[in-house]
Amino acid sequence: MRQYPLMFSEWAKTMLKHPSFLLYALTHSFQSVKHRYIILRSLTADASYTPPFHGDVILQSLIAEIIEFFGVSTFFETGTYLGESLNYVCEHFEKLRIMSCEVDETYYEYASRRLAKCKPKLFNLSSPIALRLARHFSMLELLTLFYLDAHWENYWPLLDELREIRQLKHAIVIVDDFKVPDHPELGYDSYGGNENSLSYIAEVLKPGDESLIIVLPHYREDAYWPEPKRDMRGYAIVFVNLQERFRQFSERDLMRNFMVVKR
Amino acid sequence: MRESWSLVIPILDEVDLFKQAFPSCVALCPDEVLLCLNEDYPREIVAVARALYDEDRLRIVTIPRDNGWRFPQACARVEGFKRAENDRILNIDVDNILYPSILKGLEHLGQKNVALVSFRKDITYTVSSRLREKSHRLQNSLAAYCFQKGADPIMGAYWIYRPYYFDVIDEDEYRLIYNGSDTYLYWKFQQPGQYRRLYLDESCCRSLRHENEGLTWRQLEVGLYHACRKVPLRHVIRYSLLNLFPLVLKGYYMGLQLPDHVRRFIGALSYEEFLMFNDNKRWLSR
Repeated sequence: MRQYPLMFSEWAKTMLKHPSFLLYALTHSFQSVKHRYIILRSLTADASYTPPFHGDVILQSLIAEIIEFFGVSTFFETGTYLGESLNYVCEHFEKLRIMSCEVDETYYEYASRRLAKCKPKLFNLSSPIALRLARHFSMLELLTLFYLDAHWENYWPLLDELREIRQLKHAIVIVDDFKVPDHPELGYDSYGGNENSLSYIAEVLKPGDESLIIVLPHYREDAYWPEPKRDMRGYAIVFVNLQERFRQFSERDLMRNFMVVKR
Repeated sequence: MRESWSLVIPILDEVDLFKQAFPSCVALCPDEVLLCLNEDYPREIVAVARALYDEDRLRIVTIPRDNGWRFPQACARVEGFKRAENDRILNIDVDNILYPSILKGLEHLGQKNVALVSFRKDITYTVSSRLREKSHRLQNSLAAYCFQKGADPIMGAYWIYRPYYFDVIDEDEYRLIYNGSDTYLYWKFQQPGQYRRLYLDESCCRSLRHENEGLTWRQLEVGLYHACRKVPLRHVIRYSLLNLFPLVLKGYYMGLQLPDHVRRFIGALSYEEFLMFNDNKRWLSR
């Protein structure tokens, strides 16, 4: 996400425009005010600046095809943030049971209000805890599509999330901001000197584990048509205990834009 | 001419209740009766049924013990609905003494996307439950007058139109509930969908049992959920006094003792989800 410069004049303008924000700024911590400022800017100045799933139409199509083909019952996103992706899923997949968790209270409150109409289940909890409790409450027993996009300051919960998901009977996981080899145009995250990559997740998703199929984007040049190529983010899709069905799924046209990782 | 219909009764081992209630079912002249029983059901139940009802139209549906369902009653119902010969099905609990007014639901089924018709139900009252019932009816009348919306529960006795019903429920999800098969239906009909349910504010039957809400674990469950939802204590006290449910306060206190993350999680669930997807009965009965 693009961070807006925190300039005094911008703050002042925002406060004048939104008196409730001024009141909030006077009574809350700097960090909290900063979050709310970013939210306000995203809504008032440039509402489309963070499109769902990075505006990647192939990823959006893939999600739609996965949901339809595999008969996904639940969508679980970690890291709600402003709720862009969640809003997209709510609008397009009415019958899905939709859940998300957000550890930051300001974003959580904002997303709760924003998505009040379609009523996804939002948890103000860190993602591994939310996943553990959701598992306990049998909410992940039916096939669930996970979209892992949680990262907050120093704690990167990805491996803990994957550990929780590995305990399920089956699952489909999309790990966002993932390093895709030979595709430098696709951005990825790094935390504490670790790249979000195959070698990093190998600690949980062991190489040689036959119950796992990992797929990475391998977009052809014409895949971007008619949209121009722009800042894109990498991701990985992990199919857990779905080998048979994946074989049929891999014959779909869309899958020509992906490669199965040999490990 | 009225449509043909089937009657589905899930039974565990309640022979005495069945003996008392079944004659009222026969009096409504169903075209078929399905008794859904465990494999090791008491044979007396079938003997009673055969004595009162035409043997050719009586069907015994046995449910295996290891059926993959957590709530046996839900499994029995769904199995009964699948095996019924007719699409119009009346589902009742074994302890329900039916009134003829229940037949009014039949004419609505399948019309204007109506998948389910439910009614009001009388119970065997105690002094406190009678007071509670009066209080609820008063509150509902007020709500209906002020907001054009009253209570519309599903309580054990209801009609279903099978083609629509199986579109509404998700059988794999239904298997996961620990409790509250009626609650599950209520919850599913709250979600957006093509089909709807109808509530007729009319008494359709009398239960030979006391109300469920008064059970110890149910009161604790309500209080605990209130605590997780951060409902102020004064509201919980008021609720507890108005309904004569003192254990709700104990449940509220128990809820406050839960770890913060568990409270937050439960607080994000709807009451129906909390009731169905956690084994509260076992947890709170300890």
